[in-house]
Amino acid sequence: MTPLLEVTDVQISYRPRRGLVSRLVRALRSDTSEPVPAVRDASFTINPGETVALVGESGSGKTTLARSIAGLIQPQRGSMRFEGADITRPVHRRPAELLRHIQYVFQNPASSLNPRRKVRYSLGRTLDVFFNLSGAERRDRMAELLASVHLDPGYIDRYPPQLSGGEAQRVAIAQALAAEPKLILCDEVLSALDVSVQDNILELLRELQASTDVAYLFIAHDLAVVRWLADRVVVLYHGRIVEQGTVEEIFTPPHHPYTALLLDSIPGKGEHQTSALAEDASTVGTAPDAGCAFEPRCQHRIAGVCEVDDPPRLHDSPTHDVLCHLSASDRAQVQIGSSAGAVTGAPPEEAR
Amino acid sequence: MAAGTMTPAPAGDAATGGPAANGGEPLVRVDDLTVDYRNDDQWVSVVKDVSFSIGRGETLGLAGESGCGKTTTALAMFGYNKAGSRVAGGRVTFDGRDLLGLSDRQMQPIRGARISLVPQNPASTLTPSMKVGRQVVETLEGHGVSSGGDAMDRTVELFGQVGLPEPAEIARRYPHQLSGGQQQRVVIAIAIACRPDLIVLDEPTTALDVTTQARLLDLLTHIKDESGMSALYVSHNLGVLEQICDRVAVMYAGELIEIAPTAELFNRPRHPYTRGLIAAVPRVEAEHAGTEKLRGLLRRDDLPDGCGFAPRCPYSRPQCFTDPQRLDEIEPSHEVACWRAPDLEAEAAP
Repeated sequence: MTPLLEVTDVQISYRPRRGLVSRLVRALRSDTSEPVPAVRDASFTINPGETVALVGESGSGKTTLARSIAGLIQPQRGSMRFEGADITRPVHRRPAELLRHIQYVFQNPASSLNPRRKVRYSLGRTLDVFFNLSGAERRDRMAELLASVHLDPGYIDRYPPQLSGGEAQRVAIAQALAAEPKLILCDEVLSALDVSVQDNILELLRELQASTDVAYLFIAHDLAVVRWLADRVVVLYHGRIVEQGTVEEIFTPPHHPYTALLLDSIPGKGEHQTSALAEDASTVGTAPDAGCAFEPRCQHRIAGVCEVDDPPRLHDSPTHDVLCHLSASDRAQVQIGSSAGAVTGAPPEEAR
Repeated sequence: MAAGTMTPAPAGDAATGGPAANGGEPLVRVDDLTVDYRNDDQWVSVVKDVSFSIGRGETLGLAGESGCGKTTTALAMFGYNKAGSRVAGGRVTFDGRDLLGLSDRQMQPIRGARISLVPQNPASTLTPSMKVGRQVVETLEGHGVSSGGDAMDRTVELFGQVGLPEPAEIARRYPHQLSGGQQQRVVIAIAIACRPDLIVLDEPTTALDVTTQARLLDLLTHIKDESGMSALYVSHNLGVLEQICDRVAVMYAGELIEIAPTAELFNRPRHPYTRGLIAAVPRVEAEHAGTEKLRGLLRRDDLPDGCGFAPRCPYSRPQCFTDPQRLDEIEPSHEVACWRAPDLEAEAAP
């Protein structure tokens, strides 16, 4: 099967500022360093109708990667193919058909919808760009789209500020669906919402996938959220994919130590197990130049190895990669019986 | 309203810091608090007859969806009246004093010193143009706790206490030079600077990564254990409250609908809404049963005379729409406002 999307060895850096002042400051500081890539050596695929979760903390490069798939940022290296065709080019040089097939839903629905235009306008615009519909067809299609996200037809005349967060996110999803895409990039679409509303939106996304066979790249920082939505999970740390596998593989130990930290951070399980070393990423500062990026926060680092050598990509199974110096059996030894192991290993009744 | 008054829990299994644990008067008592907001020419109650207490050293969680009145209730601890709102009834007693009767001037020595606030968004709490160390010093000096060099020393000590690395160095930075997690640690340092009796936390981790949230929750637990402070923790995520609170109160459409010790609430939630909120917490362990999921949204413009949750409740009966519900003690220290709760217990097979 040809994957829907195939991302291979992608590296993305943000260019340093080109302004006179910025260049002068750099010259004065004799700063000739290359910018640290926001994403490096990223390779993964998304199959038709599949949900791939992209998980990591702020600054891990999740959004950068999604934006490059949408053509909003150009990778410096690597390639991206959509249904086998190369798409490594900016959005304005992509064919209309490709634009239609890749849609984006943003974190904050309040700021992604035009507050001064009715829902009618937002949906209608997408339809007008991609389809040539008659007045009646256009009206019917808009009503159908609203119905598919469980909003009454009356919402067509509302302005975004009159919508709650959950309703606005439904409109944003309807707008993406209007294009009849094959892939929707969902960038933290739940984080601005209440947990109860999050649950409703997750259910809606599943339902829409069942009826339209759309694939999702679902970006989140909370692993618990993706547990019952994703087919596969890609874990990103400081721009590198540190683990990827099927959802079962990711939630069953042995994990990458960073995945173990993310699992341990899920609220509602009492005191967290991981030590103080596992501070927020920013406290540790930027990733070290050499060795494993996660080494400064890792409880199981091997002195003399992890800070020196780049970690190898280990294939725990044909579908499961881990970027780590610790072998699967070493990781199993330290993780099974720890918090993350206990949770995933225990039957549901005991865990609650 | 007698049934709605939260009486100090009898000993039993009332969690560690329950009101009974330390004996005597609770630190905070809220009695029949009603707060109105002006909507055009009408006053609409957003908080209705809410009563609860917070014991000394106790952490009470206040849960509910956006718009349920939880933040409005929490801000009543400060005697804050937002523009266009009024306290229409009730009392907030803090350490024996009625806060709502105090003038701003009388509140001044209490706010920030005896009751402090950690709001949701740290970036908008800190002054962007002032070094963060200076902002802590200002709090210490403002309340006459310490001044000059002493205040700076205490600031560095506080930064160490909230787990900021190289505290002296951090004190010289501006807010934008810190990450979201570090900014929230600075705000917590300001909140605990004067060793308050009560700290009010309004969704303090919602804007942060889960990893950062986990560290902050550990930090708050640690600080509370060490200082013996009481806390009121407001969140829409019951998972977070499960981790940090001794007791949890659940609000819906401005009313308290259930209050119980944390373990009791999670093991035997009685109100259908509480069950829905618990089911909504994203979990790794198992997918929740479909029947418990919350449907629809809280619509305040369309509330029935009876139970506000009735339109969304999978168990509602015609009476639910007409008969107002009152909090009732169903077990020692477990109160619920649902007349069907005893029947539902039978249906609640896991």
